[in-house]
Amino acid sequence: MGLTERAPTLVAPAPKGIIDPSTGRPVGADDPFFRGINDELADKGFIVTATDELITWARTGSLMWMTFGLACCAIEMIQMAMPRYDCERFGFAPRNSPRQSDVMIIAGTVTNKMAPAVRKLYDQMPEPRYVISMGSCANGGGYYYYSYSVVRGVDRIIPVDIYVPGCPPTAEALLYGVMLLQRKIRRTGTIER
Amino acid sequence: MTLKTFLIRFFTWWDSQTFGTQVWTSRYGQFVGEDEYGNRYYRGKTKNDPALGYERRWVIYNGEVEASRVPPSWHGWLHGTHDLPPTEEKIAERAWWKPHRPNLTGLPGAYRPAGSTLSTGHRPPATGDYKAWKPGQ
Repeated sequence: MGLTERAPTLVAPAPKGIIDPSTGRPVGADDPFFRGINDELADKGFIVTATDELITWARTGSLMWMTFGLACCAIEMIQMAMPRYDCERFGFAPRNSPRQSDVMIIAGTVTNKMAPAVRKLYDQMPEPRYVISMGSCANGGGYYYYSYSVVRGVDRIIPVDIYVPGCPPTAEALLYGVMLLQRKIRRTGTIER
Repeated sequence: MTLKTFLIRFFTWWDSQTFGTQVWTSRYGQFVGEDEYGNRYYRGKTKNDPALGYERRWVIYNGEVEASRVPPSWHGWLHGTHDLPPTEEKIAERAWWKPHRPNLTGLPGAYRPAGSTLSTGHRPPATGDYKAWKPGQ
């Protein structure tokens, strides 16, 4: 990557909002006093839910992922979207435009020639946006690590939320990664965009 | 069932089984066994599932719906590797079987490989086993 020799390596930013590092949830969410009141009111017939929990629930149920196949991993990504594994039952629906999508699946080798396009597509996505890196090549270069023309891991150009290992990962593994992403959104999601 | 648990089961799928799965299981499922974590295993009442062409096997998790919570003894039967479940055929426990540990992805205890910039924040220097190419040389 001769063009960006001086630039510091991109590191995924720390999650925004006040997150307790020991639980991964907002500070005070596991407070027994707060939880006791919450349960008591719920039993009396009131529905009490934190607004951000409701928003993260809605967010996990309507994740639009960008169909973005770079290499052979795309076959497994397509298989995940097809009826056998059917990611849409988890609210994970394909969307063909970066401007309306929430999740980007980097499925395959990112070459140096493709890297500016990947970065541009990522920049076009609205916040909150998430990235799933799929397969060894996208995770860290993989088989093509010593090639002259391949980015050694897509996390060198964009921040990655979930890494799915495998060469290629099975559709099941990718679907499990999607569920882990939804779990991450439920844990760390905030209202701010 | 309180209103809270009803709403949770109605609107989410990751805390326990959904109502659709419960109805399906009561109509078409035959109980097979329960593992040490309390997960309950079922198979279809018909020998060959009309949609699959072979026996349908599924699990109802006791608690969080998380695929890694299936213990190794039941994993083989659930995935079609073994014909008989561990309740009918004793499976020898291996020394390399480990107790379940939840997936720590997204938590501070998540696995970071050596040299990952996510753990230390800076990239370790190269070991010098290669020579970087510079344009014009």
